[in-house]
Amino acid sequence: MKRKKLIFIPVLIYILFITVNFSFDQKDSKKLHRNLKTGHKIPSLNKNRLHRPPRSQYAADQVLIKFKSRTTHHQISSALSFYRVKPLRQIPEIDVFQVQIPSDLTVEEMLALLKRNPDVEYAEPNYKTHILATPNDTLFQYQYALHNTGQIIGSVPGSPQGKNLADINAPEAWEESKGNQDIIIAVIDSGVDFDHTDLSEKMISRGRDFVNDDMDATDDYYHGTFISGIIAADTNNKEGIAGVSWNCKILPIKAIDNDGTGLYTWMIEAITWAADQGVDIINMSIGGDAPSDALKDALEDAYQKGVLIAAAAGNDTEPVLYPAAYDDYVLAVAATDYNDNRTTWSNFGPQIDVAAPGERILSCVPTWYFGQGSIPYGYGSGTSASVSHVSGLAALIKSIKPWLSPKDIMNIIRYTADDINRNEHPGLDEYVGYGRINMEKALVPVKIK
Amino acid sequence: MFKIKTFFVGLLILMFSSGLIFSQYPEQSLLSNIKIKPGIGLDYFSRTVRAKDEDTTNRIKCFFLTLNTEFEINDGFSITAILGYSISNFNSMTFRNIPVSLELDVGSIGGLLGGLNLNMNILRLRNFEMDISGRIYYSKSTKQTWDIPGLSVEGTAEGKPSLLTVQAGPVFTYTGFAYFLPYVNFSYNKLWGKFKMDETIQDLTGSEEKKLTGRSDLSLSVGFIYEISRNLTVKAEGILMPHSDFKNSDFGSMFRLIYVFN
Repeated sequence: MKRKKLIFIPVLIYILFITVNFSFDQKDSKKLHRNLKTGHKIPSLNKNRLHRPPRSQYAADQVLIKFKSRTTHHQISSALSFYRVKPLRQIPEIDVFQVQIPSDLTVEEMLALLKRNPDVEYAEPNYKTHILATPNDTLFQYQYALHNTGQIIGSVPGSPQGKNLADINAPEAWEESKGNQDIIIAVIDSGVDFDHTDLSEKMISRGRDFVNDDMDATDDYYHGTFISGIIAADTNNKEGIAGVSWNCKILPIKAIDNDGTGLYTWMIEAITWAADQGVDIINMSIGGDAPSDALKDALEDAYQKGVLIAAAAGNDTEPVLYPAAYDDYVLAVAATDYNDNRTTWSNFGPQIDVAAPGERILSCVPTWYFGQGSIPYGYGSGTSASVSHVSGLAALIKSIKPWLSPKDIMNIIRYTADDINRNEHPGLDEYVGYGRINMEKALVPVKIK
Repeated sequence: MFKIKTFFVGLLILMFSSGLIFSQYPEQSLLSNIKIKPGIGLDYFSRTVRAKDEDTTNRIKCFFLTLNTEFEINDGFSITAILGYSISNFNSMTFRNIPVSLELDVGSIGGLLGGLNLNMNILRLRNFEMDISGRIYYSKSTKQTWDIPGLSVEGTAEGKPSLLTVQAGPVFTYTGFAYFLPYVNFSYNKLWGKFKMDETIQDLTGSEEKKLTGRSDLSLSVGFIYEISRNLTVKAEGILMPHSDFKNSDFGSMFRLIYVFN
């Protein structure tokens, strides 16, 4: 106990530096705003058809037929007449006929007949395709981290372009889970802007402020609002951005003051308080250079209470910060970019578990941040953003598999990651850990063959 | 449970082998008043199953290749011992109660099969006969191991399915033709199954056991018995297990080639 006190006192003097060094692109934000205001309406991607229709659906009166290459036109015409099918279309590149079948036959019966014909190479139903669970949030198209189609990330000239599929496969994973509103993610940060339309409905309470020692975690910096947006912004509400976990809720806890720094005590108290509130996940997009036994004890306490803790590795191309460096209790997250490369500034070390997109991430900022005339969204970079994606994923896993322990969820996130730097560093490495997280593999059943 | 299974398998092997041995010496056999009919068979069914506590259904498909020995104990009562090989397809069955969810796309899974068939005549009326027939099949697959693809580390899944089918009901046969006996069979037709899946991904492990039941418990079979010669008989039937949404009903078929020692 005495030893703990001795360690605790010097720890109090450590000033924390937020691990991110965000640079908001105000021009982008204003341009987005102009787009919205001047009739350049960002189109709805799915017109409210969010859910996949039942699987294995196909047109009830059509089949596709491909005849063997040796079959003559005359033989094909005869065969189509014989089966009483009406050609609707031919796809000449692959010699496939789309035909309408007689009303007295089902697709299955028609296929059974066709498959007996030696001239038919294959015949199959005309299956219906489906849209994935794409949210209708107007700025979703800029969230390459969730769904990267190789789009331009931003709306001002010179905005970078992402690489197709360099993302965490969010829409595919949302088919399996959009999160459970009983799952609570504590965001230990600078608080949250409770007036933000993409966040106001997502908070379970006004939270806790350890900086001012009250029960109102209002954000007077910006960082906590940004982080909360990535994790669980109100999604599919036809405005703003999509959160990783659509339905999960946030408990904001303020442990960073209005200049972006904080004391370890605030962080430590925030961890223990969050664990006592029964949260499922703690997101820590903050960190400091110094180890602390008190911090470690707080993390262990939360971990033993069944809380998964994810923390940012840091942005200085240096060893992993604390608490991320406490490997036994914390999932340490590094940053990748829109091309699926590790960012040059992401911290590294043996404690790194996984990586997630952290370069040029679009999220919420406080409504007062850019001032009037701008929309409350902006781009930022940092492992803070990376860990927020991971916390969102952890919340989705916990939503559908509530019996799993923090260790199990951490392992699922690790083992389902894509080893994006396998050419240079195959397997587990100090830069991206097991790899960039893959929400689809972590949530959607993996086909075994 | 193990003892019951062991006893059941032992009994089948004993019946099956003794039948074959005695059938070689019909006149000297202690069972000389028993007619022994060895045969081979092929059964197929495609059935919708539902796992306990789950809303979704799956369709499983099974082939049973069987060796049969029928003991016709007296006119109108017979017992058939069945041994064979089963090929089951559980594709698209999904396991979500393990850490990393898995969906089967492994194709056919082989296993061993044992069964018994009982047939008892209870009524003969001019050209019609009514029998009571009962059949039980139990198939168990050997443990299968599959790699889990796409992970950042090596992971494996081990699956072990088993199936039990019980069928019982009246059979109405028309005996007006000389060598061709068409029949209709209404049956209580129940299927139970188990599929245990164990997952191991480094230190991440999990296990899920699905308890399966067939969606339909009733079946209608239409078939015939055709005597090709004095010694050789063919039996074939089609089975329909209707659902409320008739289009998705389950179905099956059965074929037997039976040799009769005279």
